[in-house]
Amino acid sequence: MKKFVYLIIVNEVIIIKVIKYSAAWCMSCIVMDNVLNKLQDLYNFNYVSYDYDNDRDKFIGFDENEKLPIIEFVDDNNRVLVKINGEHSTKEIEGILVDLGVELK
Amino acid sequence: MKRIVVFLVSLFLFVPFVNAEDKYINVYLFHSNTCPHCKQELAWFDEYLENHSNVRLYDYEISDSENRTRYYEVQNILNYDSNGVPFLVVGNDVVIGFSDSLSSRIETLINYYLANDYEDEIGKYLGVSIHESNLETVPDKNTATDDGVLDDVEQDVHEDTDLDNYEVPILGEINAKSVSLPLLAVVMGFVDGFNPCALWILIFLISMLFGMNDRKKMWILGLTFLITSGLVYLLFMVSWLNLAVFVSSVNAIRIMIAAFATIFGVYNIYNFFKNKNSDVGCTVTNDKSRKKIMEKIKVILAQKYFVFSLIGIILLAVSVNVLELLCSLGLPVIFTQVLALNNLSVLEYSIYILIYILFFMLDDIVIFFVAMKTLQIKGISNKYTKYSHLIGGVIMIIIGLLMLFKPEWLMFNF
Repeated sequence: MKKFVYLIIVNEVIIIKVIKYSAAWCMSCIVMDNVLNKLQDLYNFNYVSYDYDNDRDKFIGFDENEKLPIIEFVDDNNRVLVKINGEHSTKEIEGILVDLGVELK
Repeated sequence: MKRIVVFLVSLFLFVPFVNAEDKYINVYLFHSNTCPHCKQELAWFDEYLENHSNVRLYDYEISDSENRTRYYEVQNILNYDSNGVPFLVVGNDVVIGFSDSLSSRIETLINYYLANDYEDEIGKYLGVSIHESNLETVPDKNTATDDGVLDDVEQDVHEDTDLDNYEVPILGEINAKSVSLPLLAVVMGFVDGFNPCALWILIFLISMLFGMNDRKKMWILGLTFLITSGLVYLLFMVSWLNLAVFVSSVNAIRIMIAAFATIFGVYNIYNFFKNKNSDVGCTVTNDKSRKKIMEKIKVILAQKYFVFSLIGIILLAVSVNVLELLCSLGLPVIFTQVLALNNLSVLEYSIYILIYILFFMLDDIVIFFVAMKTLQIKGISNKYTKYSHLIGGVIMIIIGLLMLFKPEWLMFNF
């Protein structure tokens, strides 16, 4: 129920969905998983993760040479606002969230 | 009684010196152009022979294939099994290596064999057996019969000298030779450990182990995988070391490995700079084989009987590590080649290889132990893998060039 509330815009608070396309065998994906989990405790955003080997259909449309993880910041209309590849620091991801207007919890 | 004692003492003191004046002796030295101890021994003999006209030195450089055959045949005759040079034959005794203490040993042996009859079997084999009354070579004509009765020779290829000691702040005086090889084992093993080929399997295995809900089984299976992986690597390095020791005297092979190290090093550095600004992440490669391994892991962990899971993990560790060896072939091959150049004892070889493997597996061990303690996989950034290519590349180039132009420096004789 709480998550549902975040998905709508309340008092101009932008609810962003963060989608991570990763793989269980990918070290960089684990690094980013830890970063996003940490930020999820601080900011209002939804976090969804797809696995390369279990959710292959979700990876259709990506270039096969793209570095994993692929992280998309999507608005509630499913428009991709920002897309990044590979490892990034907590500070960098936090910067993107702030730029997109995501607020602290 | 007193007279008898005086007579025996006189006989004991007198006989050797009389004989040493009259007789001649051949000594046979097997050496290598790349070995600094050999150069020292040859220089020592240059000086020694000037004052000892009754000693004749025959030297054989073993990068020459005929001389190498002689080297092994001489060891057969003397019942020796060594790859060390300098390898000096005096009478029926052998002196491997060279140092100040060994030079006096050589003199003692020469004096002993000058004073005592012996059969110059090596001279016979080499076709330079000496006639007792002059210096002409008379093959198969040495009639002496006695065997050498001295103790086993001292093997002292790497005797330390004061020149190898350096004063290091805080740590005090450090011996360069005794520190260099362990340090090299630590650095190379650690850098090699960031090879991502084998790491993904451990990561996937841990993520699957989490589903078992049995901490004890998780520990046993995970540790079995790690230990088996280490043993496979150990086996590979020991095999390569044996080969490297066997061919260490062949210059062409040394040059080939040196060239390989240099080229591979340049390639690694090129790759680092090529990908320097690209994203740090994972690329999807070998999709089919990876899926196959992942399926295997799932099947192994789903076994009804734990013992089958255990056997399955061992077989998995063996198979994947053999397949992934190619991924990190460079550094262990080069490290074992450096070990081979140093003519160490079996114990020393083992210690250095174990140090290398311990540091090679350090990141795996840390990831596994942290995961088991926290039930969370903490990733090690792939940026370290990227930098390990740079450091590995630099190490390879340095070792490759030293192997080509200054191999004695790799024996840590500066």
